Amino acid sequence: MLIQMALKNVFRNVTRTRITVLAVFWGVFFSMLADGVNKGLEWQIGNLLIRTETSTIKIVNRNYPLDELENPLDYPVREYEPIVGFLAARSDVKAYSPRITFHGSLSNGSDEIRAIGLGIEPEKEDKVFDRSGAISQGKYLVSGEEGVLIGSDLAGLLGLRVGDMVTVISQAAEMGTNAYDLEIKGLIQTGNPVLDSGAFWIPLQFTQDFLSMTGITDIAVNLGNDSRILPFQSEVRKAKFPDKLKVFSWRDYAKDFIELVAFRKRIINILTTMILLIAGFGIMNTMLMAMMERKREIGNLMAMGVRRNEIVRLFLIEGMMIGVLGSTVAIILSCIVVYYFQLQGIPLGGAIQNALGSTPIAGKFYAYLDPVQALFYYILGIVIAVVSTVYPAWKSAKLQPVEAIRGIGGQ
Amino acid sequence: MAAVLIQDLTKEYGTGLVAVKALDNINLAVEKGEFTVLAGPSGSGKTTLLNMIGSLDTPTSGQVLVHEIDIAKIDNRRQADFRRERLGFIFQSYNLIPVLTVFENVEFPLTLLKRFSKDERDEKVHRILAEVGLESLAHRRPGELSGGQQQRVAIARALVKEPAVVLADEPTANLDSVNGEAILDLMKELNQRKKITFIFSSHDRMVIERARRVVRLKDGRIEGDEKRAG
Ligand SMILES: Nc1ncnc2c1ncn2[C@@H]1O[C@H](COP(=O)(O)OP(=O)(O)OP(=O)(O)O)[C@@H](O)[C@H]1O
Ligand SMILES: [Mg+2]
Repeated sequence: MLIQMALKNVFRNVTRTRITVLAVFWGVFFSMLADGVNKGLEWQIGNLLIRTETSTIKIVNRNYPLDELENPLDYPVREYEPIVGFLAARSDVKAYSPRITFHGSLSNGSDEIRAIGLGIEPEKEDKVFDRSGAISQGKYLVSGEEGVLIGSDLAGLLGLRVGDMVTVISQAAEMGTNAYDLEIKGLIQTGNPVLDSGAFWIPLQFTQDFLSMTGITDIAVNLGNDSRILPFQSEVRKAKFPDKLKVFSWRDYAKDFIELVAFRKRIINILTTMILLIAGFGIMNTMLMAMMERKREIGNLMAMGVRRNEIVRLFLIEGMMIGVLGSTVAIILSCIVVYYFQLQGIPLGGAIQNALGSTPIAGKFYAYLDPVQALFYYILGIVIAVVSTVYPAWKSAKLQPVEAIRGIGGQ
Repeated sequence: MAAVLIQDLTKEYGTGLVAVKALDNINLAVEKGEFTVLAGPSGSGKTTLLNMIGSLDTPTSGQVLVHEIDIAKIDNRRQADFRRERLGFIFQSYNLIPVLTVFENVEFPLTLLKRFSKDERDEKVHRILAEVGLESLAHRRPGELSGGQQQRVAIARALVKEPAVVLADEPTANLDSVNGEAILDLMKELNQRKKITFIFSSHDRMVIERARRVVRLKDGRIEGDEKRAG
């Protein structure tokens, strides 16, 4: 009977119900969208970094800087053969690529642009990052052959094409400036703007000669699965290598970006909390209004012998129904929207690109639908509606029957 | 045993200098099955007295025993249970629940009692609605009825559980004389047939004349108490 009455009360004042249901709806809907964007961003950044820059982990000199301003050549891994042997023997290593990462620049004869140079063993680099699949023009490097691959946007900036000669310049301070002309074999488009507009690839052996060094700076390793990172790290620590080493994961590398996302998440959390609070206050207010309006009815119920706790329940059930209504609609709609953008992506225009800031995302942004989070927000929406009704319910139950009956013009 | 026994009942509103004695040392016994009207001018304490009997308000001093239960001495919850078991209320402004149909309004007190099956409830509701002549309107909402019809529903609602005492505060005041008389006849008839104790208030002479017992109130005191034959 109480449930039936509560249900009828929900549909009693359409305007009021619309306000309360909408309050729940917007609270939940906004929270879901914000979460979808955040999770999408996080996932996409991680995925892009793994695919194009870091793979699962990198093995480097213990003092290797994550800070881009420092020169990686100052922290080389001098003897990497033992590490390669170690990696080749492990079943959890899907692929690995020893590399030299250095600060350099490219020149077309008139303009010079700073860029990250990557000395690679073509087949190994290809196994880890599928570079050959990212070739947009020309061909991938063949080992033993001289030549350079250039990020497609960087080539565009320099007005260079496949087959052109480009001057590769190293800026390793201790060695002075060193320059060498190489033929452009291909252009690379990874989807990672950091690489596409600021990196070039040359054979490892050539790089070693060019920089007059025998070692490397880092080995990118594909472990295939994040859960293998920790055990792998401890095994590397246990094994004795000539160089003191460190293993960092894509997460360490992505820290800046992830922190950016975390920061954004905090802001969104604050916004979400505010919206949900406003929703709660809206519900509380409208329910208080409902209570004032129904004062005499409440007194009448009391006169008929309805107990105080039943009056409370009557209101709470009404609040819950409002919550269920708003939350259900919000979750269904937001899941559709977020899932749509998870599949289709949002093409990045100027405004969105700006909003994303310096995140390594280009082309399309994909949202991510987290079903556990959706369930959480669904329940949260209902809980907020119920909790917001507690005070009005309690106030109603506290009414003295006489006062309530005298309520509005009654005797 | 009296249905309602009131002893030295005083009700003051406010305190100190602004205190108003709404009821001043009332002593009254109402027997089972009586049809009693509380008469008196506005402000004489009729509503206050009915509220005291109905445990809707608490006395400042004195006792109200309804079927030997001292209703001021029991807690909120037991007061509610007492009302749901023993009392029926009829108000001047009907006070039906607007979201429920006529049928549901009348069924409501039975549902609260929890001891009737749906079939039993249906049967009782149909019977009482027939008695007040409203069967055909069972599925309307209160808002779709005239004042007289609404008050009939209120009477049906108060009587459907056959309570020990029905309290009616100016049940005819919002009705024209024809409807008022009809309502009063209905109440009287139900009182005689079901032996339910009726206490109602009125300052309408026509109504007062039809009561079997008239208790006159003035300034919170009983000024007169006359009984007469049917
Ligand atoms: N809540 C209250 N606070 C203060 N005074 C009150 C309150 N309720 C009633 N009174 C006073 O108590 C007295 C009796 O009021 P009551 O409502 O019982 O009169 P009544 O006989 O029902 O009058 P009416 O015929 O106008 O309904 C009046 O003087 C009234 O002003
Ligand atoms: Mg009155």
